[in-house]
Amino acid sequence: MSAVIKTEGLTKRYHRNVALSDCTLEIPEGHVVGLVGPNGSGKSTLLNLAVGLLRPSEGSIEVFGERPAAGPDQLRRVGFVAQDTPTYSGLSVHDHLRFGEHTNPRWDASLAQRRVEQLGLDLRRRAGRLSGGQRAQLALTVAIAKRPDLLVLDEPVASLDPLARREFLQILMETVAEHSVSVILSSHLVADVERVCDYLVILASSKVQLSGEVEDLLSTHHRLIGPRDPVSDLSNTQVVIESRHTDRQSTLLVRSDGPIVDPQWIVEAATLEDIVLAYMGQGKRSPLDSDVA
Amino acid sequence: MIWLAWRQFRVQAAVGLFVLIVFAALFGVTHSHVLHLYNTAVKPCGKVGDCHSVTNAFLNHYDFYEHLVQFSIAAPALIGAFWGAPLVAREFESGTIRLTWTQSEMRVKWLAAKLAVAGAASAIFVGLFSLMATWWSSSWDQVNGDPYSTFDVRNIVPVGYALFAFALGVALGVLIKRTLPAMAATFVTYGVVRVFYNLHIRPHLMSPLTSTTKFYAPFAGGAGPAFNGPPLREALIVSNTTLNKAGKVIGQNGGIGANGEFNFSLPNKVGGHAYFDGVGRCPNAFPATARPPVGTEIHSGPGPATVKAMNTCINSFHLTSVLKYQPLDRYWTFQWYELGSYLILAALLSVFSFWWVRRR
Repeated sequence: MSAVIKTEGLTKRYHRNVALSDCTLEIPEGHVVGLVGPNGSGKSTLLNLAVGLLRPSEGSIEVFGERPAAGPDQLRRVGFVAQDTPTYSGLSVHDHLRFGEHTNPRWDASLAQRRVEQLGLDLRRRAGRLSGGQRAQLALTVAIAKRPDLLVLDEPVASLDPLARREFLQILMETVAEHSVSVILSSHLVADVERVCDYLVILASSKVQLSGEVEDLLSTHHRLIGPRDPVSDLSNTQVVIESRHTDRQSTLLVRSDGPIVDPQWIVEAATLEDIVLAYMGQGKRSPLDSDVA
Repeated sequence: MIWLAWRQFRVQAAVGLFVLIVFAALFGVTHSHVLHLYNTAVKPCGKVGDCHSVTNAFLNHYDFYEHLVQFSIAAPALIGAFWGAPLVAREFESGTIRLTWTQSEMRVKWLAAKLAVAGAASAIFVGLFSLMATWWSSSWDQVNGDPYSTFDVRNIVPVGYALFAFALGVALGVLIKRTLPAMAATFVTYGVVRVFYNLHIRPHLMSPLTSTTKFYAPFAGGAGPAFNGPPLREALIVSNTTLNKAGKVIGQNGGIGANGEFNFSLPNKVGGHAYFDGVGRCPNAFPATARPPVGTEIHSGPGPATVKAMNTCINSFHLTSVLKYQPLDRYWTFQWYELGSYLILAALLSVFSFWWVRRR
């Protein structure tokens, strides 16, 4: 399978601040990718690089094997819903659909029309007078009706209330199922990602901490609970990602390809949230363990 | 993309159209009155004799004219600030640039469409306005008889200013990415460029003609001409220097010294010597009646005997006036040259905007 996004040593600096540092990543086609990380970890930067709104300071990024925004054809293959879902506040919903039609050769007018009807958006209403959820839906409609091969969404639900958030993600999933489009969406909420994504990329401290299919991540990560100061060390195929200690017991998050058979540990399946939090933490304070009293 | 550019611009276009209609109405309503006044008062006065008071009254009759001139000067700057600067800056500010630049058309095409629509509107707006203003003022200009004094607000040059101001606004918007600062920067930069051009470039677009005359006292009465100015009132004066006998420049602007002053210091007591300020001591005696109250200087209104003494004094120094000027028959050449230079500036600024947008 070919890569949707492939980066090599990708670095982006704003003046002296490093937003993304030496990021090497390959995301295969046909996934709904969740890009998670704390605020300021470089999620937006990575996505803006992927759609060609930013240029790398160093390294390279390719989308479908080409430099982002290299030409009209490349632009056509990638749909983008930017953070805060910008729309032209003075233009009506109908104007936005016309805008999409005028600027995209593969525009699917009937799909756009259908979606707007489904959402119950008034065609004459100006985008500036829509609610946050409606505006996000409008932006998503424009991105979807473009019929892209990759849909990039930058914190699409961050400003939405829980109901609007669920609706948005649901419609997104329907679209993915219907049109076999790859998706990459960023969020700082694991719950959103868990609901829709089958591939995960964790960014923290401007570096990629982990990437892989959700299923694989879940099967290779374990939560170990056992006595403090265990007698035997873990084998070297097992990597401790995070460890927390109380006076008497330790909780470890461990990556291991094989099953862990060690009587001194209680082995539990790690949740996605466990994994995400552990890797985010790893980015912050690499070798040191945190003690929880 | 043209569609989007037009859709976004149409409110501003409507405002522009409204302003044009208001001015057209004002021009239309007042023009017949101006013409009537000209035909009944100014035109026949030539046959009767003294036209001076009539023409002055005619020129001063219109307050509207003053406002018209002010608007003519401001219009290109307003276009630059209100049509040019927000064109791209507002898209950055509201984040819609991220929507537009990620559709299937190249951003260069997007900028080209925006520039074409709003740029054409700027040229048409100012072009039509200048056409109306030139038409309305034709009789006024004829009476005024100094075409270079209204050079910037007539005929074709305003179109060049408008396109320059517009392209400047766009470029500054692209660079600054925020609407208000870009607008302010456009105003200031436009003003500076225009002033610089008027003072330092326009007079030298072609090498000026030179007229050398004897230096005369710049006041009426007595001997000599009434005015020590240019031989042609309609000319664009490049410089008017005063030279002494040795050929050294001792004065500007038709007078003595850097500011072109013309003063005599009269003696405090009868029989003393007067000084021609900045030149030297007068060899001749001044009449007793020339002596004003102690310590004051004469600027105007000296009596005939005093004027005679002053002229004698001036003549004794053998001063010359060197006038460099652009004659009236170069007016249209200058209009085209100036239009051309501002169009070139506009083109360069647009190239910069394209380059910057592509490179990001």
